Amino acid sequence: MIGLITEASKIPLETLLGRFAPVVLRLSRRLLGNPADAEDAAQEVLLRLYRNRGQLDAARDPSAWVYRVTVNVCRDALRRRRKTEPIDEARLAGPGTPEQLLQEDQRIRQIERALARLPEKERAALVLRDLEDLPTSEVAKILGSSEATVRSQISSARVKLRKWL
Amino acid sequence: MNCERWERDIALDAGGDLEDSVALEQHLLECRECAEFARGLRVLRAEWRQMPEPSPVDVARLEARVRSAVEREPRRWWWWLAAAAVLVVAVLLRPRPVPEPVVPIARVLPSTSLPDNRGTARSSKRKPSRGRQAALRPRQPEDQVVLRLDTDDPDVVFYLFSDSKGVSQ
Repeated sequence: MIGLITEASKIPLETLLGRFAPVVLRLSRRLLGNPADAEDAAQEVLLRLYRNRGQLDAARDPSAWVYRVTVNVCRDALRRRRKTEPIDEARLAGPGTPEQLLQEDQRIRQIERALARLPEKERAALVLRDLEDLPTSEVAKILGSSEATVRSQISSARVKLRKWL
Repeated sequence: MNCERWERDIALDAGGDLEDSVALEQHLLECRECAEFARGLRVLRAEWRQMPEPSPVDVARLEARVRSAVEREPRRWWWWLAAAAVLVVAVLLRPRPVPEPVVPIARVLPSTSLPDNRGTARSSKRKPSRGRQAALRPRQPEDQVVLRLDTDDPDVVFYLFSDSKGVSQ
């Protein structure tokens, strides 16, 4: 009976998906680059969140917890990364002329490749700070680093991207 | 001009992460290369910040995958319930130690310490009846064999007496 009450008081799956699926998928893509890997990682993250939804409810800052789990899962995924990078057909199927889309897609893919070349910790710091727009202090908490370390990683990553792109 | 040392500050300043930018601003006024590096970095940063969001189709596909995976997962509380049931059955069916049967102990006792039929100690001075007195030679304590059988009930004790004519109780 206690178990049933606890189950009922936890966040329902649909609420969890509505709140976190878009952000988890976006962050996974930015950390991994490859859409197929990102979808696998996002699924793993959302399942972990669902299994531990009691902790998610109790967390003071659920978003930070979600970011942390996503970064960890993507870090693991990078270690067993697939070599192939399929074209993101869903994006090509959107509005606009094929030439424009191809041009935009090429630029996006250039940026994605450049991000993928960054060392793992620098990429995580840059994605959280610049693409997710989190303050440096929040990035430091999520990555378990000091703010000084995060600033150094962000600076190094920006310089490299400026030189590569 | 070698301005590598300014790159770190330019990179931090591009995102508003440089605490004191006065010295950098002064340098950018004097150095065209660094000014160009900073301008390019700001443009580029704006570009990568515009990375597209996942499409609703992608999000819906992900959500469907997660729903499907959750449905395939066994419910955790079922596992706890099953484990509790197995534990209860195991406790109920556990092998219990069988008590050792109490084997009656037989002892030969000296007749002088035995109770008589009324429960009082048999006296060696008991006189035989007049009729039997002649037929019997005087009974000696060592002629009798008495077996005492102890049972598991301390209040129940059996005595077996034997004399020259057989066994009496």
